[in-house]
Amino acid sequence: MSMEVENHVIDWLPAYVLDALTDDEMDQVAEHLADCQTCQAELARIQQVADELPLAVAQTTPPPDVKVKLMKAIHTRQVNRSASSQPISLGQRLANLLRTRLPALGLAFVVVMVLGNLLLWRQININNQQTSTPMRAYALANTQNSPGSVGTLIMDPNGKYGTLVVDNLATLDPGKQYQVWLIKGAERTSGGVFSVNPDGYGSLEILAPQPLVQYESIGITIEPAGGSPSPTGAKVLGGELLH
Amino acid sequence: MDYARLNDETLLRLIARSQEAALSELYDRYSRLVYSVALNSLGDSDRAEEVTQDVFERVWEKARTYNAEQGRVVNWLTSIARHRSIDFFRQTRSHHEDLQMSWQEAEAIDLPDGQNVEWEVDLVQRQRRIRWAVAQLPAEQKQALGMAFFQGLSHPEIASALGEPLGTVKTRIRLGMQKLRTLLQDEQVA
Repeated sequence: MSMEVENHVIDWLPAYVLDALTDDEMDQVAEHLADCQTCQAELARIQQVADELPLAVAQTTPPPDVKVKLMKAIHTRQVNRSASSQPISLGQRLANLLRTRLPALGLAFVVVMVLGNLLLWRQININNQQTSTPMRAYALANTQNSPGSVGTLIMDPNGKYGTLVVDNLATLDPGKQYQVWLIKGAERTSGGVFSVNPDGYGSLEILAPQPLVQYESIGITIEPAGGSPSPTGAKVLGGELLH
Repeated sequence: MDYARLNDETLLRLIARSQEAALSELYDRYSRLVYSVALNSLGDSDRAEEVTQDVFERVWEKARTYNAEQGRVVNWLTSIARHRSIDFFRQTRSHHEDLQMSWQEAEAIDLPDGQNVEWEVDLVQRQRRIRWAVAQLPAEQKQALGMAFFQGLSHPEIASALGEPLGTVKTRIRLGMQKLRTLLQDEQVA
C-alpha cells in the first residue's frame, strides 16, 4: 500500500480509524492530520463508516440478570453518594482532623466536647420539648395481591428524605423487582426499586427529584427488574402521605 | 413520565440528573447492541455480560460529559463498548484465530413491535444500510475488518493470525473500508 498520495495519508485512514496501525504509523498519520484539511475531511467520512460498523453485528439479548445487577449497583452507588453528600458540621470536621492528625489532642477535644454537650443538653432538651418536630411515620396498607405484608415510610422532620421498610412481601423471580411510586395528581415518579430477602424483609432509601413532603401518596408495584418508566404491574402496598 | 417517548439525548440529560428510570430505558434500547459488540469482541458470554454492565455504569457516571456535537448517543455507547471490550480482550488474549466474527446477514429487519418511536425507526434503517453494505464485501475483507474493529488487532497481528502477508491484510482493510464508504454514500444519495 502506498503510504501517501500526493503526500497525503488518505490510504492509511481506514486503518487509522480502526486503530490497526502500529504506534509509529499512528503518530505519522496524526502528525499529518494536524495540518491537512483534505485528510481531516476524509477522516471524518471514513469515521462515519467506522461508527456504523457495530450496527452490522448479529444481535443477541443479554440475560435478564445483567440488568438486575446493573440497577442494584447504580442504586447502591446513588444511596452511598446521597449519604456521603450530607453536610458535615464544623465540629465534625474539626473532630475528624484531630482524630486523623493528632490522636491525643483529638481525644482531649472529644472529652471537652462531650462535657460541653452534656451541659448544653439539659438546656436544649427543655426547649425541644416545646419546639422539636419528630420523624414522621406513614403506615402503608397492603392489597389483595400481598395479604399479610406490611410497610412503613419514615420521613425526616423536614419532609425531604425518607426510608421505606417492608416485611412479609413475596420474594420475586430474578426478572422482577418491587418499585416505589411517588404520586402527585396523575403523575407517578419512581422512588427506586428494591428486592426483599427470603423472609420478605427489605428497605430502601427513597430518592426523588422533589422533597417527599411534596407528594400526595405512595404506592409499590411489581415491575421488571430495574424498574419501569411508569407502573405496569400489580400493586402490593400503598398509602396516603397526609402532611 | 413516559420514558419510551423520550429521545436518547433527553434520556442522557435525565441520567445526568440521577434518574434511574432513564438509565433503565436506555438499557432497554441498547443493551442488545452493547452486549453483541462485546460478545463479538470477546467470544465469551460471561465477559460480555461484565462489559455490558460496565458500559452502562460508565454511562451513569459520565452522562454529563456526553457532547451531542461529537456524535449520536448510540455511537457513544458502542464506542465505549468497543474500547472496553478491546481492553478486556488484550488483558486475557484468548485465541483470536478461533474467534468467528458474526456479521449479520443483510436480511430484512422488521421494526420491533410496539410504538415504533423515532429512535427505533432510525436505528433499524441504519442497521439495514450497514448490513447491506457489509454483505457486499468479499469474505476475507469482512474477516480482516472484524478482527481490526472488534478485537483491536493491528495489521501485523491480523497477518500473523491469518497466516497472510502483511501487505495483503493492509489492502483488505483499506479496500473494505473504502468500499463501505462508497456504498453508504451512494445509498444515501439514492
